[in-house]
Amino acid sequence: MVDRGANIDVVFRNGLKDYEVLPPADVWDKIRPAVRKNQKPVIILRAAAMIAVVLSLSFLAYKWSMNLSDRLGSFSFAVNPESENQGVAVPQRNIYHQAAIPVIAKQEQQEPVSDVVTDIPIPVANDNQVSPVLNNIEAENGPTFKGTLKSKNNIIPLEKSYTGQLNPNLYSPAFVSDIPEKPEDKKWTIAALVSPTYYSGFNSDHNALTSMLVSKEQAVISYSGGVAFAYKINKRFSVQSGLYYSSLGNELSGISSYSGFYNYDRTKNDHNFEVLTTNGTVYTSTSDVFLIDKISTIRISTNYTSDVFDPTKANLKYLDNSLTQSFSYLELPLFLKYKLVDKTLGLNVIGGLSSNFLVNNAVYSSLNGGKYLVGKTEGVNPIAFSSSLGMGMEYNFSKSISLNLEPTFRYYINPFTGADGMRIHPYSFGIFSGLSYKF
Amino acid sequence: MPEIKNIINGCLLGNRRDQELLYRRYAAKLYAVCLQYSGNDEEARDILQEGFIKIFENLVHYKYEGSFDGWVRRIVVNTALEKYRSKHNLYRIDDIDQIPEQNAEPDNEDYAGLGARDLMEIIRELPPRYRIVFNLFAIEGYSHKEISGMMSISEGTSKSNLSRARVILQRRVGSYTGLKKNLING
Repeated sequence: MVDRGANIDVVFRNGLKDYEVLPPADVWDKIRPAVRKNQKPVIILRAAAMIAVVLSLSFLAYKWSMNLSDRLGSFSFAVNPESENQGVAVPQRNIYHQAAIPVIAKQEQQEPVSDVVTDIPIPVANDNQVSPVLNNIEAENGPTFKGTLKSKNNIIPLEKSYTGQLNPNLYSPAFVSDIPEKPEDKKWTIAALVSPTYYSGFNSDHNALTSMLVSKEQAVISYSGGVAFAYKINKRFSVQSGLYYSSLGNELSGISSYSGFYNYDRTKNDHNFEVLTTNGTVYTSTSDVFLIDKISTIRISTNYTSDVFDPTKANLKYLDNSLTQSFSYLELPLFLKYKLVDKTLGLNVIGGLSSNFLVNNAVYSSLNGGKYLVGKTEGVNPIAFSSSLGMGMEYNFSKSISLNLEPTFRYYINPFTGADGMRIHPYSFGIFSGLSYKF
Repeated sequence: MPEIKNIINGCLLGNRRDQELLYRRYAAKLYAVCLQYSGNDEEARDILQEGFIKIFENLVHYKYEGSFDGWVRRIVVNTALEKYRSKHNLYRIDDIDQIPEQNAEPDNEDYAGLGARDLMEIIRELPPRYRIVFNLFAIEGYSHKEISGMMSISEGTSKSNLSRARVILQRRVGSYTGLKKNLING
């Protein structure tokens, strides 16, 4: 019975071994839509989250700078203890000389005020108030004062222009810093900026292979820096350009590299290994290197698979368990800057487009703490276009020099690689800081 | 014909053409497996459909160890098993007494006249559990221990089911070949 049982097993096994039956035509139509799941909502959520983070940071920065600016610029009004019922509005940062107090104190509408009052407008001085300050008002000779009469420690807003000489008892000419009819307008700014940059990518064509590759790659903290020029169009807007150098790195984990393969490479072919990455395909440029992917069989294409050649038995020199892709770009930006707050601590929004030109493309492993050149990444677009949005803070040390801090989000519009099915749109977040000079 | 590795990579990249190419290459072979494990065509279509979706979803985990044909077949067989497990409460294991005993066990030479289509028809007439145990043991080569784990039955039950499946098949083959002979002889 056992024999007969086994016999019938063989009959069915052999009889059905190559049996094929065409399935109904509509089966593929049902499989097709289920195969490629649309994962765009995930991408949209990620993008939304990133934008939310940037906006939140920007909002917090804006609030913080407003608070700080208000604190710096808020007026404190003090009561002159020697003149009852004659409250004197004295901007704390522009302390009037005692002698100048009567000029403002003659304001009829002034009520006794508490020690600290805010949001009271600075009164505009009229002829009677200006006369003690300026001698020979209406004199033909002498400088013209318009808008504000300002000394080192004193500001008197003027309701009209006056011509005359400063009263030396109240205002020493030596203290008069400038009394311009129109403030000097510095149109140009040059800045040197540098930023550590976190770099990653949105997978806009979600598929299994790209997802797997993304999971095996890690961004390396990168750096950007350069010189920026800005031209002030009007009080609020300015255009900015310049030249930046940015270096991006991408670590391919799980790929072990060995040197010394040259002695075993029969073909003496430089291009022995291809490594599939989200940024393109890495081609080895030396016949000395041997690569093994420890965690996936998909990424590396080679004739020298692990069953053909064992680097350990051949006693090759082990280098590292990951490769690093390195790309360097020269960036030509064209940004528009809008000044939200124009105070000692200024705040502005900056956004625009950049052209990024690939100037360096290399793949490294490590050797004795140094770099061992493995090859380069093929299929990388020579030009990448990026859009940027940032919130800039500007602390003015003086009228000409300021310190800048610009958290900036950058999104690369076209993928780094033109490879079919690999649509990774890199993005980066950096905090640019540096000094700027206005002239 | 493109290499299977290229087709797989194309599928992993979401390339529609390669996905369809993979389906066209394996659909007929795997549909035969589905028919072998199912009692009716509708169920076989469902298994094929679900099986292919799993193949595409799990393609990224394929390690190029062993043949791809074997890998896709295992997925479809597992899908058929899941289908069976989800429905097994609905099936009643037919009692062996209910199988009509028409002919004596056939001689070896009787098997020679049976084509693949005949064998498929015969195997599909088995009660579901017998059919699956026979397929797993005789066609796929699993042991009773493995089958007991896959089907949540004891090894003894697996052996018993196989034994009964063989008996039924032998009888069916006998009746089938007898019927054929009768038809040929007029």
